[in-house]
Amino acid sequence: MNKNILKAIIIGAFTLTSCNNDLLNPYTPGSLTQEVAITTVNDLNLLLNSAYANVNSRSESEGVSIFTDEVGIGSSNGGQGISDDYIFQMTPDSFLSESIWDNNYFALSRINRVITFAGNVVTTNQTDADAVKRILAQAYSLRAYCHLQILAYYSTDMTSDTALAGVLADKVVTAVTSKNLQRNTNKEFYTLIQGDLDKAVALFDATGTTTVNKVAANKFFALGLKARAFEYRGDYPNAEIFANRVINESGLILANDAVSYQQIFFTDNELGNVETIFRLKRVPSANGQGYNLHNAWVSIRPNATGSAFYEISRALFNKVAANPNPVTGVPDDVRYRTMVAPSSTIDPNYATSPDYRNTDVLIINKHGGVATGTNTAAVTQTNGFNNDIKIMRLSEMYLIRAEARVVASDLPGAATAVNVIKKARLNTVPAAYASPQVAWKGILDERRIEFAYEGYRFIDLKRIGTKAGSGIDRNPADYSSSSANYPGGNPANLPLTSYKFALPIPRSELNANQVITQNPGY
Amino acid sequence: MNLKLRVVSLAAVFFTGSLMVAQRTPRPKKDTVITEKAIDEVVVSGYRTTTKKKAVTTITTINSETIENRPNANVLNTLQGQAAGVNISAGSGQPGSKPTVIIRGVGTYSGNSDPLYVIDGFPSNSDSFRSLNPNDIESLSILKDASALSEYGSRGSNGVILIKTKGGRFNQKLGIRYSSTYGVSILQSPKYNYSSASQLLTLEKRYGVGKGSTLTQAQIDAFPINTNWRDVFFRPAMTQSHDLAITSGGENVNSYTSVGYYTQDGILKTTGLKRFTVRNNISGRSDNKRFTYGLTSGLGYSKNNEATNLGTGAINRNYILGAFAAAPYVSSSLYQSGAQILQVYRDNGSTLLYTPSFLQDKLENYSNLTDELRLDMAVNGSYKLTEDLTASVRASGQYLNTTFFQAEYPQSFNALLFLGSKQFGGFEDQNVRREFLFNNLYSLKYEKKFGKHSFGAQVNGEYNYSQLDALNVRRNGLITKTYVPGSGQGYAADTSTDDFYVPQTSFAKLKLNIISYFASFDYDFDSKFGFVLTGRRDGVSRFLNDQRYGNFYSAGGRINLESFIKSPNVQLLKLHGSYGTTGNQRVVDGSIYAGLNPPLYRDIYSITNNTYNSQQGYAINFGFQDLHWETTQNSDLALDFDLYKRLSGTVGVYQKKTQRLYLPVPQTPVLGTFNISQNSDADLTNKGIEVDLKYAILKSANTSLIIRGNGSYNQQKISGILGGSINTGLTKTTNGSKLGEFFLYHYAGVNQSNGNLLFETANGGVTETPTDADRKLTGKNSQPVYQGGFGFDFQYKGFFASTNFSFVAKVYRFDYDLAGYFDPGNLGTFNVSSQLLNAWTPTNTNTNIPALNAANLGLASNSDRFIRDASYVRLRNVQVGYELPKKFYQGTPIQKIAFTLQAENLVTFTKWQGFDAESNRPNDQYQYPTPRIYTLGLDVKF
Repeated sequence: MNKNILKAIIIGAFTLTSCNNDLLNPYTPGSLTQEVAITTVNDLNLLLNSAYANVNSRSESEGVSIFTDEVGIGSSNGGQGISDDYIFQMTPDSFLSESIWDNNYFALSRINRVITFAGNVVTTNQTDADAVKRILAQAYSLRAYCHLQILAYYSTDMTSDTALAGVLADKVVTAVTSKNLQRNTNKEFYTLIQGDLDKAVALFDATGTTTVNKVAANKFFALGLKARAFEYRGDYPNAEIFANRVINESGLILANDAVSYQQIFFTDNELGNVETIFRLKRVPSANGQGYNLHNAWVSIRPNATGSAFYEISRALFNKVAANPNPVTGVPDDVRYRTMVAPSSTIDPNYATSPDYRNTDVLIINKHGGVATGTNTAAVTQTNGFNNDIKIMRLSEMYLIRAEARVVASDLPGAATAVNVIKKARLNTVPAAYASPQVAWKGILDERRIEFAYEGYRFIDLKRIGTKAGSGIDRNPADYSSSSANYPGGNPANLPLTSYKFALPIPRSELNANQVITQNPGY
Repeated sequence: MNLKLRVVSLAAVFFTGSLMVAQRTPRPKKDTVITEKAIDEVVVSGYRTTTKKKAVTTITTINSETIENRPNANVLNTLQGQAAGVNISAGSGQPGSKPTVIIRGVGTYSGNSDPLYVIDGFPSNSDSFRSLNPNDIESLSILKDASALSEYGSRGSNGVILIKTKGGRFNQKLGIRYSSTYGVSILQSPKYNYSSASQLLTLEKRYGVGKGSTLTQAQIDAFPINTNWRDVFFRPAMTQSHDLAITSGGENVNSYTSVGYYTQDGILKTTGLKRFTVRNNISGRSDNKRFTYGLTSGLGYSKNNEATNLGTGAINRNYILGAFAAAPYVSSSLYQSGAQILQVYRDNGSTLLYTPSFLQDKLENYSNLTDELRLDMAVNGSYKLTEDLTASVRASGQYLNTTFFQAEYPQSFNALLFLGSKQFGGFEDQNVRREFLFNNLYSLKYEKKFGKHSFGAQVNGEYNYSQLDALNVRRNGLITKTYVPGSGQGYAADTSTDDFYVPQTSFAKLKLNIISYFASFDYDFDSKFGFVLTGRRDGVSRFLNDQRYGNFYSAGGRINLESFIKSPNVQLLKLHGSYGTTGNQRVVDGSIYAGLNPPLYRDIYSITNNTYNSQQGYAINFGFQDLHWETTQNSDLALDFDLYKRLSGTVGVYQKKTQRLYLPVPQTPVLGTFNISQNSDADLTNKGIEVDLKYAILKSANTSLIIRGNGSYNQQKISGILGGSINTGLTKTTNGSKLGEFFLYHYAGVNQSNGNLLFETANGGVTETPTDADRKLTGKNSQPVYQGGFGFDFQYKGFFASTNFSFVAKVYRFDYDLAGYFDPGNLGTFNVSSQLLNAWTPTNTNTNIPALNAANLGLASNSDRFIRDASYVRLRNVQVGYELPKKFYQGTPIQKIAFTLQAENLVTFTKWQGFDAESNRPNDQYQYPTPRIYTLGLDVKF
């Protein structure tokens, strides 16, 4: 009897052994390894979507607006910016430096997988084969875009072949092969960028993709990016060639009235042939305060009661509000109303206001705003409207052409190019330039207004600020007035000669990489 | 980083792994009694039992007298200061929240540092202790030494706490016991210099902002409002408990049955815990006593109202922010309704000044409730096959059903604020989490004695299963007229044009299996010396292939010197030591389910929704191919003694070395991720000294006075980090130093010539504009180097008193609350310290407060200006009691009546200025402080 019980217990105990391996198999539903994950065209597309998602960030628009001169401190500021970006602190931990580096490299790691794994996808018909080519074309375009972003923000001199850019990410790296990477030169970057864009254009052409799909990298984005990259490098003849190709071949036109211009920014529903070359699509179901574009500056919505912690900087407001129409009292330039919310309170005596922060309330209207009233398209709410991020618009091509004309000593040509935009924006004061510096200054100012809150300003100052003789431009009201007293925010603290125009290699890289060359000054 | 304040919208909360709401830490403590009743007392050492004399390890046991009737919803809080080397810190005054328990130093960088909790033999965790009645606990034993821990191989690395619930005894009369406590909790006072309304307005006037800038000094001096917002959001809160326990025992069966009710209101309005528990423990044996069996069952049901968004800058959500930071010149009667305060807010340029009013609205128009059902069941049986050989089997199960409910009412300020153009606002969440844990143990035990030689051997097989299911539902859009929270009524339905009202749902399921085999052998010679060997093999379903197995072992020995000395004054003088290994498979912090799916051992592609342009995408989670068990080497040597029947204790040293530490090893973003959790090249060593002493000063029939104390010193050192250090901005972990050392500019005071801040440069000078190179390792982190407790127990006839102090030393934290009070940027909207009145001005240069508009004020957040010494000595618990003389109830069935008056957190000595020196975080801002509690208890036995 005793022995039977003993046997039973021992057998019981060791029964566990028999099902051992099954029980110890990890329970991981939904988790795929790469071999299983990427087998079809659709799988490849999923990976491409993740690449888009990684660059689909407001952080460039947000960080640049604060670290340059696009915003002032809002009446609902709860400490945002005033101890770091707004007073021109820039360290390896800074938001702008971290987000540009991290977002682009995260995207690149996905893009390189798309390019590498495309070879694993077996296609059995022409439709699928074309689809793979279209995916590859987008991947090459995005790879060029990410590299150009890295170069622009981290290189000390974008026009120098030998200056360091970032780490060239032209293949899939592993935890082993990614150890202690060094930075590559601008030349290596530009070579990769132009090569990728040539491949992209060829692939787009091979699949007969001629219409512009604005929410995906497309042929004219690739061509426009070539123009932008040549412009950054200072190769203006080539920049102009590709800018002209986009202007002439894309079939796109500038928004030429208030409604269509505002549709681009307020509601993302401009007509298909209007202006936008590429924008990153956002959908209402993917929102949240940390993600929604307008929430970079306001907590609730872009109107006077929307809890703005940043507002339009007085200097930028003064620029866009110059030349008011004598009848309406506001400028005819459509960019005025697009930028300045109608619910704003404009204090004409702002310079002497005892409480500037609360008497002069200039709400950033551009993303998700409204032409009249307060009922903005953007609102912070589940399923609330969430604006697309504009990556490239046709107006940039005209401004590249303008710069190229200045370099070619054709000042009237430069003015003509800028005036195309002024006319489309209903601006009644045409440009005319007396000297190259005046022309550069005119172009810089035009870009400041045209691309406000779209993340251009930092690179523009870095590129042509010195030529234009014009740097960070803040009104004293925004840094040394009664209720907005932030001496660190004085533009004198960020001169054009500052090392801070090449961002520091961020902490995320430094932690993993002991050999990378940090930019000077940090 | 000092928090940035803003209104925050609440995304749906999805909880799978850990508890849902910010759940940090709870409450107070009391006295300490190290149980050393008798040297032959049976002690449980892992899966074996031995005696105090023969144990090769130090085991600290806290018994029911220490635990009972303390006003602590979570029994772990009672452990504070009770045992050397055990650091327990509460981080929240939220009733029922969970403290951090760290035994012999943090042995992990980012993994889990929770000890293993073994309840009546069932390996479990401490996540739901709020539903466990402390008064049902017979004893808590803390295992720290290598030999004891290795038997728990798979999960023993962070130490083990054994919990035994009460039971009956055979041949015992029926006993009935009723105990009850009533108490009140109050907010402890901080040492901050809050500005009064007129001081704040004066500062605003000087700075040129806010209301103060619009008033004359005369108006300011006569300002009629001066609100103390602490009084608005906090309250004296009531605590009460009632416990009825019945024990009985016959010849072959005995039982313990208890019913308990406990309710504790939080000092923060709307928070609190209610708990109802039933326990029934039965054990029995056959007539020949060869077969024994037991059934323990415990049911706990708790309802917990918790504060949300604690420690955040959500001005419309975090009550504490309103209590700590609101401007005193705002009236608490300004608030009337959500719609009204929204209008006030809009009419005043969206100023954050009305933060406290928003939060007053939340008190009215928001609610949450976590209700939890916890069922613990265990059966065991053992049979003596022969005189020497015993076979046992045990099965234990734990079922937890947790429902989290929260609702933002449609008429609330927050609902209206984010209403936009929708017709219906507000939301309701119903999140249900079910967890089932199962454990099955088979064991064979052999014991034999030949003359002076005793042998014991044991083999065991154990199966452990854990499963979690979580279902979350959010409804957006509530109809004011019909909405009743939690009733299912008043939901707006989806419309064809707008998906806002579509319910959001999610579901998750996670499973974990562990299979273990282990054996032990022990030998004793005539109670003079002995040794214990253990070995264990564990397999876990967290890793792949061979990596899933881990092998652990230990060896421990002792010499009982008292057997050689043979003096009547030396009851015990035992030298013992052990060496062994333990394992850890919880690669990342969080619950036991964290890191299971997606798994961490491969690059994993999982489908994500709405990734781009309404399409799906692939998320990539980068993995580490060779992911396997983390091993910790433990060694210890200690002397246990009991001399002159008065002085007893232990003095010991230990070393705990976590090898190839789990570390999120930083990766270049070029790879596509910030870090990959893996078995790294780094080792983390904690070594230290522990002392536990008890001395009976008076020992007579009527009087006894015992003093006791314990303390430990822990030194931590990490080595082998690739690249030498990991820098997280404000902290840095460097080879040769401790974890998370503050890495900052050294603040050097105020520049008397311009009011700017000065910082020390790398080479010892001062500068107003420090760079990264000027950051210094401070040698300080937020884990105490010294910690312990002390106190006395006094008894004279029916009167008794005891105290328990706890202390920590060499611990530093950021006081961000203080930083906020010194931030002139808060002027105009929030309160600041009245010390700012003494800020530098051209005419007030001899001051240590920088100018209000100092150009480099922002740099202070990267400096040690607001690092504070958080060492403290605290009178954790004091109690005095009186047992009525028997003559008063002679002739009645009553056997004992006693009254106890006690106070928790009565006095704290510390340099820390905030509400609570005790915290489990490296920085604090807008956190729920722990209260001071006074209780009166009644204990009646029949």
